[in-house]
Amino acid sequence: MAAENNSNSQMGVYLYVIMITSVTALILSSLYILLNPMFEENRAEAKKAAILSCIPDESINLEDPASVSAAFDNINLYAVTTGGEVFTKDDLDQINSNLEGGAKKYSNMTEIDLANEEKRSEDNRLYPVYEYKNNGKEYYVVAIRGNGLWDKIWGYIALEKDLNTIAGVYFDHKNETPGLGAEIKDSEPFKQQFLGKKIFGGQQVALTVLKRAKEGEHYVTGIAGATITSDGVTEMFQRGMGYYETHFDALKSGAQGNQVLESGNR
Amino acid sequence: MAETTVVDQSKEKSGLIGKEEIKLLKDPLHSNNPITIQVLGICSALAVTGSVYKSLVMAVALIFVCAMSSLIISLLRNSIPNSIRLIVQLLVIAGLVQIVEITLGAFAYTAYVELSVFIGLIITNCIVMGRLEAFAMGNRPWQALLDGIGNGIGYGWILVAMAVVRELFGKGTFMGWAVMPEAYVANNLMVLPASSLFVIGIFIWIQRAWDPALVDKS
Repeated sequence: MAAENNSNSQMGVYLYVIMITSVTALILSSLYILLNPMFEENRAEAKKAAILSCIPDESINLEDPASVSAAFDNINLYAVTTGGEVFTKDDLDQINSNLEGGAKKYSNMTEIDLANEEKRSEDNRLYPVYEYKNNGKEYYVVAIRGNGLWDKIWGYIALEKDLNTIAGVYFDHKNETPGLGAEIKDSEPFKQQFLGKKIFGGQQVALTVLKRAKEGEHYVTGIAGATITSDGVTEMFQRGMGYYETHFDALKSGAQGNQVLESGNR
Repeated sequence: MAETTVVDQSKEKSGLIGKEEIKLLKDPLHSNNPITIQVLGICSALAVTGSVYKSLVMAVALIFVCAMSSLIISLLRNSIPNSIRLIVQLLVIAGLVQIVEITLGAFAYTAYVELSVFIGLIITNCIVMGRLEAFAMGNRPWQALLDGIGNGIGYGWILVAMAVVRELFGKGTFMGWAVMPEAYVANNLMVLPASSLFVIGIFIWIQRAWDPALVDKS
């Protein structure tokens, strides 16, 4: 057996441990430094593809990175607070100046992420708006985030120009059960149901996921056997879309809101 | 440690692949399969066999970790202080698993996202550490490498075979392509982790029915 040699002395053992951990650490950190840029790039690509996947424009080929990249250039990205304040890429310094709760800095608007925003106090949180314009098509994609059964769930919702009708949805989850909660991501029929539904009813978010959808433009049938995840989707919608309401009202009330954006972004 | 098998090293072998070496590669595939005979590594077998693609990536990752850790530990075997040998084994496994994780994140991002925590959980896969403790610590590097590869493949092929069954009946697809006739109604039970328990059970049954020598004598 691994010989009872002199490396078994106390000092020898310590030296051995220090040596072998240093070698391992060196190898791992070099590999990480070498490959992490590619990983970050993949992650950014995947995020772009996720956002674009809910936009109903056939000219986008999600399998092709070049097409994803080109389509993303049609997006005007800005962020809003619940109070309706608008931040564009020119305000990046201002966005980064207010880092409470250990929120990470952004080097680019595309990095804006609800998981990171949740670290800030509620009034200061930024919610991204992806305004897509191409060949007369116009959609607004917004981000929402909530809780599933086991862990976080999140999604992107594409809205028609009226800022009320759903044009497409994308959901993802950290750890929902395959075949049950995970179906919010995997099941096309589940996602298809959202198309054409209306988010707002009166002054509040009315869209609801039910065990069995009622008649009407606000109801969607949940995943059988995944009640808590389905309820999580409802909660995520009702809270998450609420954050955008002030901004949407400003946009809907017409020219005023739009002008702010036009001048702010170009 | 007393249980470490040592391949007979008394007679010099003429080639790299002798009878012993073939046995090292072949035994884990059937008569000493880590999953169906030793019943190790069940956790990941339950978790990742819902789709063929996932289980293929997992199998390749495990073969790599198992083979490389066996090789490294065997090379170090005479220098490792006995009192910390398990820690050293864990360090080597964990390091290799990190290498797999970082590499997947850079080159196979989809697989990285889909397998997420299960790659990290290779560290706790009893097969890997079991082979280090039971074989690599007492054998020469070449034999240890073969043993690692053999056990990795033994684990991997069962994993992929289970995934084929589960994906076929659970989703009606193979590697994402629809193969079942359209009239087939997917059996959602097969996608749930619980189904892998009885799929493994059925595999074990078939294997023992086919080769009665494997049946435990009571």
